[in-house]
Amino acid sequence: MNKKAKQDILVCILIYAFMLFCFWQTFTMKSGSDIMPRLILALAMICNTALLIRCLNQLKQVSAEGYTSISEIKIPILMFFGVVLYALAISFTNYFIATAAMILIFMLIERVKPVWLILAIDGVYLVFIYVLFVMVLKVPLLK
Amino acid sequence: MIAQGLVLLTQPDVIIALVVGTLGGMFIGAMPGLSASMAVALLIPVTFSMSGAAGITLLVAVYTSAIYGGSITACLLHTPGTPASAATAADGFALTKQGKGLKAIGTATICSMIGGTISAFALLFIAPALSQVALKFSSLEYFLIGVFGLTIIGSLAGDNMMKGLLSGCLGLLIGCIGLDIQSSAPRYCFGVLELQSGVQLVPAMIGLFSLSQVMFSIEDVAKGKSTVLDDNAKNLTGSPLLSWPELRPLLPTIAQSSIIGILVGILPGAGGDIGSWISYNTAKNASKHPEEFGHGSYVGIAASETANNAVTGGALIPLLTLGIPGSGVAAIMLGGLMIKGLNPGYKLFTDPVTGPVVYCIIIAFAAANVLMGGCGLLVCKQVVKISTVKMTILAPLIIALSTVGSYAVRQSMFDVYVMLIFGVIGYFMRKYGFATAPVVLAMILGPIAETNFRQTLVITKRTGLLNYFLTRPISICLAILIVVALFSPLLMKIINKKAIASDPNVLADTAHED
Repeated sequence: MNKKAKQDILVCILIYAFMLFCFWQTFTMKSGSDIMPRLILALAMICNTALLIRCLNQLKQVSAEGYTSISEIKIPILMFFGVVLYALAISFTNYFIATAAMILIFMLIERVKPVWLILAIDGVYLVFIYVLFVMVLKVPLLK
Repeated sequence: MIAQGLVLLTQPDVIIALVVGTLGGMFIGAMPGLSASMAVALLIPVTFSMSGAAGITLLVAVYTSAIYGGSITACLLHTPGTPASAATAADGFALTKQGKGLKAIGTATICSMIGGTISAFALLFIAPALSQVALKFSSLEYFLIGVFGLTIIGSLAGDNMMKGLLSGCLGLLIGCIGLDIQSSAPRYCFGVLELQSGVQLVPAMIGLFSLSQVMFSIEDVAKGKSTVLDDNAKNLTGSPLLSWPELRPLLPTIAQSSIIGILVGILPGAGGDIGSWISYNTAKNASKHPEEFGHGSYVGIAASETANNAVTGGALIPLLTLGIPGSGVAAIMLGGLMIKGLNPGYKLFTDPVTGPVVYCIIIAFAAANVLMGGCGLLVCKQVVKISTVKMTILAPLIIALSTVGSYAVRQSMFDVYVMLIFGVIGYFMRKYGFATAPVVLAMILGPIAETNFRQTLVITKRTGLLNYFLTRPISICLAILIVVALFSPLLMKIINKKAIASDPNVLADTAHED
C-alpha cells in the first residue's frame, strides 16, 4: 500500500473537518458577510475532493516516496515548543532576558563551541537590537 | 526646471540625505518585519528640520532601497525582509542552496536597480499622462485586478495544482478574518479583539517563510547537515556581476517587469508585493521552461525584483501629479510632502519655487536606485557568506529576529503568537507538499477582490452588473487578460507539443536559448 497516499488521505480528511468547522461558523455571521467565506469553502471542497480521488487512485501503488515519519518531525516540533516557551518567557520577563537565555540554551543544546563564542554572539546581537529597536525605533522591548 | 533640480541635488544636505537614506533603507529592508512603510513613517519627524529637497530625498531613497534590501535575506535565508520580496524567496534560496547565492543576489541587485531607474524615468517624463489612466479605474476594475492576481496561484502551486489551490483557499479564508467591510460584523474572530482588524500580513509571512524554514533547517541539522548549502555546493566564489550572455536572456523579462511594476505602482492601493507576484506569473507563463520557476530560476528573481522596485517609481506618479498615493508608503509620504508645503498637482511641476524641488526629488530617486545597485554589488560578496554560517548559530538568531520583527509591527505580543501559529502551519504545509506562497498572495488579494466586488454590486444595483461591465473598456481588457492568464499554460503546452512534433530540433534550440 502507498504510505504517502494514505498520509495524503488523512490530510484530506483533516481539511474536510476544518472546512466543516469554518462552514458551521458562517451561520453565526450576518447575512451578506457569509457570502465570501461560503464561496471560498465551496471552491476548497471541490479541490479537496479532487485531491482525495487522486490519492485513492494512488493507494494501490507500492511506494513510500515523500512519506513523512514521526521521527522525522520530532526534533522540529520539539524546537517549535521551545520557541513557544521563548515567546511565553518574553511575556513574563522582557525580550532581552528571554532572548539571551534562548540563544544560550539553543546553542548549548546544539553543542556550539567554544562557550565564549556563544556569549559573544548573544552580546553583540542584543546590543544591535537595543540600538536599532529601542534607541532608534523606540520599540518598547524592555517592558 | 530639470537643470535647476540637478543644481539642487548637488547641495551637501541633499547628497547626505541620499546616501544615508539609501544605505539605511537597504539595512531596514533586510530586517524581517521592518518594512519600507515603517521606515518612512519613522523618518517623517526627522525631515522636519531638513530642507524640502533633502527631506523628501531621504524618504524616497529609503523607500526604494528598503524594497531591494528585502531580497537579500529572501535569497540567503528564505526570510523575505519585506512582503514585496516574498516572490523572490523560493528561487533565490534554491540558488543559495546550490552555492549560487552570490549570483542570485547579483541578479536581484542589478534587476532592482534597473527596475527602479526605469520607473524614475517614467516618473520624470510620462507621469501626468499615466496618472490619467489610473483615474479611470473603478471598483470593478480593482476587483478584476484582484482576480487577475489570484490566477497566479496556479503558477505558484508547485507540483500539485489541487494542493496549490487549497493553499490559496486557506489564504482567502484568512483574508476573511476580521470585521466585515460593509456590515462591520465580525467574521472568524472567536471573540478575540485583536482578530477584528484581521490577521497582519507581516507576522503571518514571517511565520510561513522564516520560522518554517528554521524548522526545516533544524531537521537537516538532525540529519547531519550543518549549513543551508547543499552537500555538493560549497563553492561561493565567482562574481555577482552578470556577464552579457547571462544578462541577455533576462532583458525581455526586465523590460516586461518594469512596465508591469510601473502600471501596478500607479494603481492606488497596489504595492510592490502585488507587482512582484503579477510580474513573476507573467514571466513564468511566457517562459519556455516554467518548470524551473521555484527551483532556482534567474528569470524568476529578475521578474519579481525588477517589478517591486519599478512599483516604487510608479507609486510616486499619481502621488506627485494628483495627490493620490499609489501604495501604502506613498500615502505616508503624502504627509511628508504636505508638511514641506509641496502640494501635489500639475502646478507642483510648473511652479518656479516647487518645480526645481520636485525635479531634484525625481532625479535623486533615480540616483538612489543607481547608488543602491552599486552598494549592493559591493557588499554582496561579504553578505553571501551568511550561507556558510552553521545553522546551529543562525537558527536562534533568525528566531529572535523573527520575533522582534513580528512584535515591532504593532508592538503586540499577539502578532508574535500569530507568527508562531503560521510557522507551524507553514512547516506542515511544506512537509505535505502544499506551497505557502499562495497563502500570502491570497491574503493580500482576497480582501481587495472582495471589497471591490461588493462595492461594484452596490454601484450596479440599478444598471445591472453586465451592462456596467460592457460599458467599461478597461474591465473588458482585464477580463480578457484573466482568461488568457488562466489558459496560457495550457496553450503554451499545446504549442510546445506541436512544435516538438513538427521539428524535434526545437527542444534543443530552446534549451540553448535559455
